Amino acid sequence: MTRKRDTTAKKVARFGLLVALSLVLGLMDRAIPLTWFLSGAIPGIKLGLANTVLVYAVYLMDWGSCFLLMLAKVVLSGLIFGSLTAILYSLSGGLLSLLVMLLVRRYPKAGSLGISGLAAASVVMLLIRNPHPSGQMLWCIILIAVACLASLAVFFLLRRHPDFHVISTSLSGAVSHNLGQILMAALVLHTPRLLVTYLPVLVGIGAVVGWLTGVIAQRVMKALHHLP
Amino acid sequence: MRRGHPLFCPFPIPHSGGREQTLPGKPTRPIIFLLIILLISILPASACFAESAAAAALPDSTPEAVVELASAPDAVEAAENTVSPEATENPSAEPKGYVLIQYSGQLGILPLPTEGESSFPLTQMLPNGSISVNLIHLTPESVWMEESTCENHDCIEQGEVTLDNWRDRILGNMIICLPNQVVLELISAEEFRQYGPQDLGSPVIPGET
Repeated sequence: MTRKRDTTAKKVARFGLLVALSLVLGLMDRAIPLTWFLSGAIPGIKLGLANTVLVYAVYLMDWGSCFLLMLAKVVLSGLIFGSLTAILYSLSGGLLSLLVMLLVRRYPKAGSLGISGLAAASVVMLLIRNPHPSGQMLWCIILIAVACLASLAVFFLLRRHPDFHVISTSLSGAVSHNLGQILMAALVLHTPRLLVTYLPVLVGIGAVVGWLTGVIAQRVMKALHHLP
Repeated sequence: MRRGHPLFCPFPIPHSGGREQTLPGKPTRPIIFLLIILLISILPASACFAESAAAAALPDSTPEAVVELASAPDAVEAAENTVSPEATENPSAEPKGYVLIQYSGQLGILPLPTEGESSFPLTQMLPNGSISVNLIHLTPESVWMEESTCENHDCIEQGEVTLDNWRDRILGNMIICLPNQVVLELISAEEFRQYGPQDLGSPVIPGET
Protein backbone atom coordinates (compact mmCIF):
# COMPACT_ATOMS: atom_id res chain seq x y z
CA MET A 1 0.00 0.00 0.00
CA THR A 2 2.77 2.36 0.87
CA ARG A 3 4.81 1.56 -2.20
CA LYS A 4 5.69 4.55 -4.30
CA ARG A 5 4.18 3.32 -7.55
CA ASP A 6 0.71 2.81 -6.07
CA THR A 7 -1.66 5.38 -7.48
CA THR A 8 -4.51 6.86 -5.49
CA ALA A 9 -7.07 4.99 -7.56
CA LYS A 10 -5.36 1.73 -6.83
CA LYS A 11 -5.28 2.46 -3.12
CA VAL A 12 -8.98 3.34 -3.10
CA ALA A 13 -9.86 0.21 -5.03
CA ARG A 14 -7.88 -2.03 -2.72
CA PHE A 15 -9.31 -0.33 0.36
CA GLY A 16 -12.88 -0.81 -0.87
CA LEU A 17 -12.17 -4.43 -1.70
CA LEU A 18 -10.82 -5.08 1.79
CA VAL A 19 -13.79 -3.36 3.49
CA ALA A 20 -16.25 -5.41 1.43
CA LEU A 21 -14.31 -8.58 2.14
CA SER A 22 -14.29 -7.94 5.87
CA LEU A 23 -18.05 -7.29 5.86
CA VAL A 24 -18.73 -10.54 4.00
CA LEU A 25 -16.43 -12.47 6.33
CA GLY A 26 -18.23 -10.88 9.29
CA LEU A 27 -21.47 -12.24 7.86
CA MET A 28 -19.85 -15.67 7.59
CA ASP A 29 -18.80 -15.39 11.22
CA ARG A 30 -22.44 -15.04 12.16
CA ALA A 31 -23.39 -18.00 9.98
CA ILE A 32 -20.95 -20.36 11.72
CA PRO A 33 -22.56 -21.07 15.09
CA LEU A 34 -19.53 -21.75 17.24
CA THR A 35 -21.67 -21.52 20.38
CA TRP A 36 -23.76 -24.50 19.30
CA PHE A 37 -20.75 -26.79 19.26
CA LEU A 38 -19.99 -25.77 22.80
CA SER A 39 -23.66 -26.11 23.85
CA GLY A 40 -24.01 -22.49 24.88
CA ALA A 41 -21.39 -22.79 27.59
CA ILE A 42 -19.35 -19.86 26.36
CA PRO A 43 -21.59 -17.03 25.18
CA GLY A 44 -20.66 -14.55 22.51
CA ILE A 45 -17.73 -16.23 20.78
CA LYS A 46 -17.19 -16.39 17.03
CA LEU A 47 -14.53 -17.52 14.62
CA GLY A 48 -13.27 -14.05 13.75
CA LEU A 49 -12.64 -14.62 10.06
CA ALA A 50 -12.90 -10.87 9.52
CA ASN A 51 -9.71 -10.60 11.53
CA THR A 52 -7.74 -12.13 8.65
CA VAL A 53 -8.42 -9.01 6.59
CA LEU A 54 -7.06 -6.85 9.38
CA VAL A 55 -3.95 -9.03 9.69
CA TYR A 56 -3.43 -8.71 5.94
CA ALA A 57 -3.83 -4.94 6.21
CA VAL A 58 -1.42 -4.66 9.13
CA TYR A 59 1.31 -6.20 7.00
CA LEU A 60 0.65 -4.47 3.71
CA MET A 61 -0.78 -1.04 4.55
CA ASP A 62 0.33 1.85 6.68
CA TRP A 63 -1.15 2.45 10.13
CA GLY A 64 -3.60 5.13 9.00
CA SER A 65 -5.21 2.89 6.41
CA CYS A 66 -5.38 0.05 8.94
CA PHE A 67 -7.14 2.32 11.41
CA LEU A 68 -9.59 3.54 8.77
CA LEU A 69 -10.27 -0.01 7.62
CA MET A 70 -11.00 -1.13 11.18
CA LEU A 71 -13.26 1.88 11.77
CA ALA A 72 -15.17 1.34 8.53
CA LYS A 73 -15.62 -2.35 9.25
CA VAL A 74 -16.82 -1.80 12.83
CA VAL A 75 -19.25 1.01 12.01
CA LEU A 76 -20.67 -0.58 8.87
CA SER A 77 -21.12 -4.06 10.32
CA GLY A 78 -22.59 -2.50 13.46
CA LEU A 79 -25.12 -0.55 11.43
CA ILE A 80 -26.01 -3.54 9.28
CA PHE A 81 -26.19 -6.34 11.84
CA GLY A 82 -26.14 -4.96 15.34
CA SER A 83 -27.04 -2.10 17.59
CA LEU A 84 -25.28 0.87 19.12
CA THR A 85 -23.90 -1.14 22.03
CA ALA A 86 -22.53 -3.72 19.60
CA ILE A 87 -20.55 -0.96 17.89
CA LEU A 88 -19.22 0.15 21.27
CA TYR A 89 -18.02 -3.35 22.16
CA SER A 90 -16.41 -4.10 18.82
CA LEU A 91 -14.84 -0.64 18.60
CA SER A 92 -13.01 -1.06 21.90
CA GLY A 93 -11.94 -4.57 20.91
CA GLY A 94 -10.86 -3.48 17.45
CA LEU A 95 -8.84 -0.51 18.67
CA LEU A 96 -6.95 -2.58 21.22
CA SER A 97 -6.33 -5.43 18.79
CA LEU A 98 -5.09 -3.08 16.06
CA LEU A 99 -2.72 -1.39 18.49
CA VAL A 100 -1.37 -4.71 19.70
CA MET A 101 -1.03 -6.09 16.17
CA LEU A 102 0.93 -3.04 15.01
CA LEU A 103 3.24 -3.48 17.99
CA VAL A 104 3.60 -7.22 17.50
CA ARG A 105 4.48 -6.72 13.84
CA ARG A 106 7.60 -5.01 15.11
CA TYR A 107 8.24 -7.31 18.06
CA PRO A 108 6.74 -10.71 17.11
CA LYS A 109 8.51 -12.68 19.85
CA ALA A 110 7.16 -10.46 22.60
CA GLY A 111 3.64 -11.03 21.25
CA SER A 112 3.61 -14.81 21.31
CA LEU A 113 5.54 -14.99 24.57
CA GLY A 114 3.11 -12.54 26.20
CA ILE A 115 0.09 -14.53 25.06
CA SER A 116 1.51 -17.79 26.37
CA GLY A 117 2.25 -16.05 29.68
CA LEU A 118 -1.31 -14.74 29.82
CA ALA A 119 -2.70 -18.21 29.13
CA ALA A 120 -0.49 -19.76 31.81
CA ALA A 121 -1.65 -17.12 34.28
CA SER A 122 -5.29 -17.88 33.41
CA VAL A 123 -4.80 -21.60 34.03
CA VAL A 124 -3.21 -20.88 37.39
CA MET A 125 -6.00 -18.45 38.29
CA LEU A 126 -8.74 -20.93 37.37
CA LEU A 127 -7.02 -23.71 39.31
CA ILE A 128 -6.68 -21.49 42.38
CA ARG A 129 -10.36 -20.63 42.27
CA ASN A 130 -11.37 -24.23 41.65
CA PRO A 131 -8.75 -26.84 42.60
CA HIS A 132 -10.81 -29.84 41.46
CA PRO A 133 -12.39 -28.89 38.16
CA SER A 134 -14.91 -31.12 36.41
CA GLY A 135 -17.33 -30.97 33.53
CA GLN A 136 -17.17 -27.86 31.36
CA MET A 137 -14.50 -26.28 33.51
CA LEU A 138 -12.09 -29.20 33.06
CA TRP A 139 -12.33 -29.04 29.27
CA CYS A 140 -11.92 -25.31 29.41
CA ILE A 141 -8.72 -25.55 31.47
CA ILE A 142 -7.33 -28.17 29.06
CA LEU A 143 -8.13 -25.85 26.16
CA ILE A 144 -6.33 -22.91 27.76
CA ALA A 145 -3.32 -25.10 28.54
CA VAL A 146 -3.18 -26.21 24.90
CA ALA A 147 -3.39 -22.58 23.82
CA CYS A 148 -0.51 -21.72 26.16
CA LEU A 149 1.67 -24.50 24.70
CA ALA A 150 0.72 -23.52 21.15
CA SER A 151 1.76 -19.91 21.57
CA LEU A 152 4.97 -21.06 23.27
CA ALA A 153 5.62 -23.24 20.21
CA VAL A 154 5.08 -20.20 17.98
CA PHE A 155 7.65 -18.33 20.03
CA PHE A 156 10.28 -21.03 19.51
CA LEU A 157 9.42 -21.65 15.85
CA LEU A 158 9.75 -17.94 15.05
CA ARG A 159 13.54 -18.29 14.94
CA ARG A 160 13.48 -20.77 12.08
CA HIS A 161 10.40 -19.97 10.05
CA PRO A 162 9.36 -16.43 9.14
CA ASP A 163 5.87 -17.85 8.42
CA PHE A 164 5.06 -17.84 12.11
CA HIS A 165 5.43 -14.09 12.17
CA VAL A 166 1.88 -13.73 10.83
CA ILE A 167 0.48 -16.35 13.19
CA SER A 168 2.02 -14.58 16.18
CA THR A 169 0.42 -11.30 15.11
CA SER A 170 -2.98 -12.87 14.55
CA LEU A 171 -2.78 -14.70 17.89
CA SER A 172 -2.13 -11.59 19.92
CA GLY A 173 -4.65 -9.62 17.88
CA ALA A 174 -7.44 -12.08 18.66
CA VAL A 175 -6.63 -12.24 22.37
CA SER A 176 -6.42 -8.46 22.70
CA HIS A 177 -9.72 -8.09 20.81
CA ASN A 178 -11.33 -10.26 23.47
CA LEU A 179 -9.57 -8.29 26.18
CA GLY A 180 -10.87 -4.97 24.87
CA GLN A 181 -14.42 -6.28 24.59
CA ILE A 182 -14.48 -7.76 28.08
CA LEU A 183 -13.06 -4.53 29.54
CA MET A 184 -15.86 -2.58 27.87
CA ALA A 185 -18.45 -5.13 29.03
CA ALA A 186 -17.22 -4.90 32.62
CA LEU A 187 -17.49 -1.13 32.40
CA VAL A 188 -20.96 -1.05 30.88
CA LEU A 189 -22.39 -3.79 33.11
CA HIS A 190 -20.70 -2.47 36.30
CA THR A 191 -19.39 -5.95 37.10
CA PRO A 192 -15.61 -6.03 37.51
CA ARG A 193 -15.95 -9.67 38.61
CA LEU A 194 -16.49 -10.48 34.95
CA LEU A 195 -12.74 -9.99 34.48
CA VAL A 196 -12.03 -12.76 36.99
CA THR A 197 -14.58 -15.29 35.78
CA TYR A 198 -14.73 -14.82 32.03
CA LEU A 199 -11.40 -13.36 30.93
CA PRO A 200 -9.31 -16.55 31.41
CA VAL A 201 -11.69 -18.49 29.19
CA LEU A 202 -11.61 -15.80 26.53
CA VAL A 203 -7.80 -15.76 26.50
CA GLY A 204 -7.74 -19.48 25.72
CA ILE A 205 -10.45 -19.29 23.06
CA GLY A 206 -8.82 -16.22 21.51
CA ALA A 207 -5.45 -17.93 21.22
CA VAL A 208 -6.90 -21.03 19.55
CA VAL A 209 -9.07 -19.06 17.14
CA GLY A 210 -6.26 -16.58 16.47
CA TRP A 211 -4.00 -19.46 15.48
CA LEU A 212 -6.57 -20.67 12.94
CA THR A 213 -7.15 -17.25 11.39
CA GLY A 214 -3.41 -16.61 11.42
CA VAL A 215 -2.82 -19.75 9.36
CA ILE A 216 -5.48 -18.59 6.89
CA ALA A 217 -3.99 -15.09 6.63
CA GLN A 218 -0.50 -16.48 6.18
CA ARG A 219 -1.59 -18.86 3.41
CA VAL A 220 -3.43 -16.08 1.59
CA MET A 221 -0.51 -13.70 1.77
CA LYS A 222 1.91 -16.35 0.60
CA ALA A 223 -0.37 -17.29 -2.29
CA LEU A 224 -0.56 -13.66 -3.37
CA HIS A 225 3.25 -13.37 -3.24
CA HIS A 226 3.14 -10.79 -0.50
CA LEU A 227 5.40 -12.84 1.72
CA PRO A 228 8.96 -13.98 0.97
CA MET B 1 3.18 -9.82 -15.45
CA ARG B 2 3.35 -12.52 -12.85
CA ARG B 3 0.97 -15.38 -12.48
CA GLY B 4 -0.84 -15.66 -9.16
CA HIS B 5 -1.19 -18.83 -7.18
CA PRO B 6 -3.45 -21.21 -9.18
CA LEU B 7 -5.62 -21.93 -6.13
CA PHE B 8 -6.43 -18.36 -5.34
CA CYS B 9 -5.88 -16.33 -8.45
CA PRO B 10 -5.76 -18.19 -11.77
CA PHE B 11 -5.41 -15.08 -13.87
CA PRO B 12 -2.24 -13.02 -14.18
CA ILE B 13 -2.13 -10.08 -11.80
CA PRO B 14 -0.50 -6.87 -13.03
CA HIS B 15 1.94 -5.52 -10.43
CA SER B 16 0.85 -8.10 -7.90
CA GLY B 17 4.42 -8.26 -6.62
CA GLY B 18 5.50 -7.36 -3.19
CA ARG B 19 8.49 -9.61 -2.93
CA GLU B 20 10.41 -6.48 -2.11
CA GLN B 21 8.21 -6.09 0.96
CA THR B 22 10.30 -7.42 3.82
CA LEU B 23 9.31 -8.48 7.30
CA PRO B 24 8.98 -6.88 9.76
CA GLY B 25 7.26 -3.94 8.14
CA LYS B 26 7.72 -0.24 8.43
CA PRO B 27 8.41 1.01 11.96
CA THR B 28 5.50 2.92 13.42
CA ARG B 29 6.13 6.15 15.24
CA PRO B 30 5.41 6.14 19.00
CA ILE B 31 3.20 9.26 18.81
CA ILE B 32 0.66 7.23 16.86
CA PHE B 33 0.44 4.67 19.63
CA LEU B 34 0.00 7.45 22.18
CA LEU B 35 -2.88 8.85 20.11
CA ILE B 36 -4.58 5.47 19.90
CA ILE B 37 -4.17 4.92 23.66
CA LEU B 38 -5.78 8.32 24.21
CA LEU B 39 -8.71 7.32 22.00
CA ILE B 40 -9.14 4.06 23.90
CA SER B 41 -9.23 5.92 27.20
CA ILE B 42 -11.77 8.44 25.90
CA LEU B 43 -14.14 5.74 24.68
CA PRO B 44 -15.19 4.24 28.06
CA ALA B 45 -15.57 7.72 29.53
CA SER B 46 -18.00 8.70 26.79
CA ALA B 47 -19.90 5.44 27.36
CA CYS B 48 -20.28 6.29 31.05
CA PHE B 49 -21.46 9.77 30.18
CA ALA B 50 -24.07 8.51 27.73
CA GLU B 51 -25.32 6.06 30.34
CA SER B 52 -25.72 8.68 33.05
CA ALA B 53 -27.53 10.97 30.61
CA ALA B 54 -29.93 8.15 29.78
CA ALA B 55 -30.45 7.43 33.47
CA ALA B 56 -31.29 11.08 34.08
CA ALA B 57 -33.89 10.95 31.34
CA LEU B 58 -35.36 7.72 32.65
CA PRO B 59 -37.93 8.67 35.36
CA ASP B 60 -40.12 10.85 33.10
CA SER B 61 -40.84 8.30 30.43
CA THR B 62 -40.70 4.98 32.21
CA PRO B 63 -43.86 4.29 34.25
CA GLU B 64 -46.65 4.14 31.65
CA ALA B 65 -44.52 2.28 29.13
CA VAL B 66 -43.46 -0.31 31.65
CA VAL B 67 -46.99 -0.98 32.82
CA GLU B 68 -48.42 -1.53 29.40
CA LEU B 69 -45.52 -3.61 28.18
CA ALA B 70 -44.93 -6.14 30.87
CA SER B 71 -47.95 -5.67 33.12
CA ALA B 72 -45.42 -5.27 35.90
CA PRO B 73 -46.28 -2.89 38.76
CA ASP B 74 -45.46 0.78 39.00
CA ALA B 75 -41.98 1.65 37.83
CA VAL B 76 -38.56 0.17 37.33
CA GLU B 77 -37.61 0.47 40.99
CA ALA B 78 -40.94 -0.88 42.17
CA ALA B 79 -40.73 -3.75 39.72
CA GLU B 80 -38.63 -5.49 42.35
CA ASN B 81 -41.70 -5.84 44.54
CA THR B 82 -43.27 -8.66 42.57
CA VAL B 83 -41.83 -11.48 44.59
CA SER B 84 -43.13 -14.98 44.88
CA PRO B 85 -46.09 -15.17 47.26
CA GLU B 86 -44.36 -17.92 49.26
CA ALA B 87 -41.54 -15.65 50.35
CA THR B 88 -43.88 -12.98 51.62
CA GLU B 89 -46.24 -15.40 53.34
CA ASN B 90 -43.73 -17.02 55.64
CA PRO B 91 -40.80 -14.65 56.05
CA SER B 92 -39.50 -16.71 58.98
CA ALA B 93 -38.27 -19.52 56.70
CA GLU B 94 -34.89 -18.46 55.36
CA PRO B 95 -34.15 -18.92 51.64
CA LYS B 96 -31.17 -21.06 50.67
CA GLY B 97 -29.68 -18.43 48.41
CA TYR B 98 -29.99 -14.97 46.97
CA VAL B 99 -29.81 -13.68 43.43
CA LEU B 100 -27.92 -10.44 42.90
CA ILE B 101 -29.25 -8.57 39.87
CA GLN B 102 -27.06 -5.93 38.26
CA TYR B 103 -29.11 -3.90 35.80
CA SER B 104 -28.73 -0.38 34.37
CA GLY B 105 -26.30 0.67 37.06
CA GLN B 106 -28.43 -0.56 39.95
CA LEU B 107 -28.19 -3.58 42.20
CA GLY B 108 -31.21 -5.61 43.22
CA ILE B 109 -31.42 -8.60 45.54
CA LEU B 110 -33.96 -11.35 45.07
CA PRO B 111 -34.23 -14.22 47.58
CA LEU B 112 -34.89 -17.68 46.23
CA PRO B 113 -38.38 -18.94 47.11
CA THR B 114 -38.46 -21.29 50.10
CA GLU B 115 -40.96 -23.57 48.36
CA GLY B 116 -42.48 -23.76 44.93
CA GLU B 117 -41.23 -21.98 41.80
CA SER B 118 -41.76 -18.47 40.57
CA SER B 119 -40.97 -16.24 37.63
CA PHE B 120 -39.86 -12.68 38.01
CA PRO B 121 -40.10 -10.16 35.14
CA LEU B 122 -37.28 -7.62 35.17
CA THR B 123 -38.28 -4.60 33.12
CA GLN B 124 -35.95 -1.72 32.38
CA MET B 125 -35.17 0.98 29.88
CA LEU B 126 -31.89 0.65 28.00
CA PRO B 127 -29.60 3.65 27.29
CA ASN B 128 -30.72 3.67 23.65
CA GLY B 129 -34.35 4.17 24.69
CA SER B 130 -35.80 0.72 24.06
CA ILE B 131 -37.49 -1.28 26.80
CA SER B 132 -36.25 -4.75 27.64
CA VAL B 133 -37.86 -7.54 29.64
CA ASN B 134 -36.04 -10.50 31.17
CA LEU B 135 -38.09 -13.26 32.75
CA ILE B 136 -36.08 -14.84 35.56
CA HIS B 137 -37.18 -18.26 36.79
CA LEU B 138 -36.49 -19.04 40.43
CA THR B 139 -36.68 -22.39 42.20
CA PRO B 140 -35.64 -23.09 45.82
CA GLU B 141 -32.14 -24.12 44.72
CA SER B 142 -31.54 -22.69 41.27
CA VAL B 143 -32.16 -19.84 38.89
CA TRP B 144 -32.30 -19.57 35.12
CA MET B 145 -33.35 -17.12 32.44
CA GLU B 146 -36.68 -18.20 31.04
CA GLU B 147 -37.45 -15.51 28.47
CA SER B 148 -35.67 -12.47 27.15
CA THR B 149 -36.23 -9.73 24.60
CA CYS B 150 -32.60 -9.69 23.47
CA GLU B 151 -31.69 -10.72 19.95
CA ASN B 152 -29.25 -13.58 20.48
CA HIS B 153 -30.79 -15.38 23.51
CA ASP B 154 -27.36 -16.27 24.84
CA CYS B 155 -28.63 -15.78 28.36
CA ILE B 156 -31.25 -18.52 27.93
CA GLU B 157 -28.68 -20.92 26.47
CA GLN B 158 -26.40 -20.42 29.46
CA GLY B 159 -28.67 -22.79 31.36
CA GLU B 160 -29.38 -22.85 35.06
CA VAL B 161 -27.18 -22.01 38.00
CA THR B 162 -27.74 -24.10 41.10
CA LEU B 163 -26.10 -23.79 44.48
CA ASP B 164 -23.89 -26.78 43.57
CA ASN B 165 -22.94 -26.53 39.92
CA TRP B 166 -21.27 -23.11 39.86
CA ARG B 167 -17.83 -24.70 40.10
CA ASP B 168 -18.36 -26.58 36.86
CA ARG B 169 -19.86 -23.77 34.85
CA ILE B 170 -17.53 -21.63 32.80
CA LEU B 171 -19.33 -18.46 33.79
CA GLY B 172 -19.33 -19.54 37.42
CA ASN B 173 -22.38 -18.37 39.30
CA MET B 174 -23.31 -15.76 36.70
CA ILE B 175 -25.90 -15.46 33.96
CA ILE B 176 -25.12 -12.60 31.60
CA CYS B 177 -27.44 -10.95 29.09
CA LEU B 178 -25.16 -8.59 27.24
CA PRO B 179 -27.70 -6.79 24.98
CA ASN B 180 -30.06 -6.08 27.88
CA GLN B 181 -27.18 -5.32 30.26
CA VAL B 182 -28.38 -7.70 32.97
CA VAL B 183 -26.08 -9.79 35.15
CA LEU B 184 -27.51 -12.35 37.56
CA GLU B 185 -25.34 -13.81 40.31
CA LEU B 186 -26.44 -16.60 42.61
CA ILE B 187 -24.90 -16.59 46.08
CA SER B 188 -25.64 -18.83 49.01
CA ALA B 189 -27.18 -17.60 52.24
CA GLU B 190 -23.82 -17.81 54.06
CA GLU B 191 -22.11 -15.68 51.46
CA PHE B 192 -24.97 -13.22 51.64
CA ARG B 193 -24.56 -12.87 55.39
CA GLN B 194 -20.80 -12.60 54.99
CA TYR B 195 -21.02 -9.78 52.45
CA GLY B 196 -23.76 -8.11 54.43
CA PRO B 197 -26.45 -6.05 52.75
CA GLN B 198 -24.69 -2.86 53.80
CA ASP B 199 -21.68 -3.61 51.59
CA LEU B 200 -23.83 -3.98 48.51
CA GLY B 201 -24.78 -0.34 48.11
CA SER B 202 -28.48 0.28 48.54
CA PRO B 203 -30.02 -3.04 47.58
CA VAL B 204 -33.69 -3.74 47.21
CA ILE B 205 -34.83 -6.54 49.50
CA PRO B 206 -38.37 -7.25 48.37
CA GLY B 207 -39.21 -9.72 51.14
CA GLU B 208 -38.73 -7.15 53.89
CA THR B 209 -40.31 -4.07 52.37
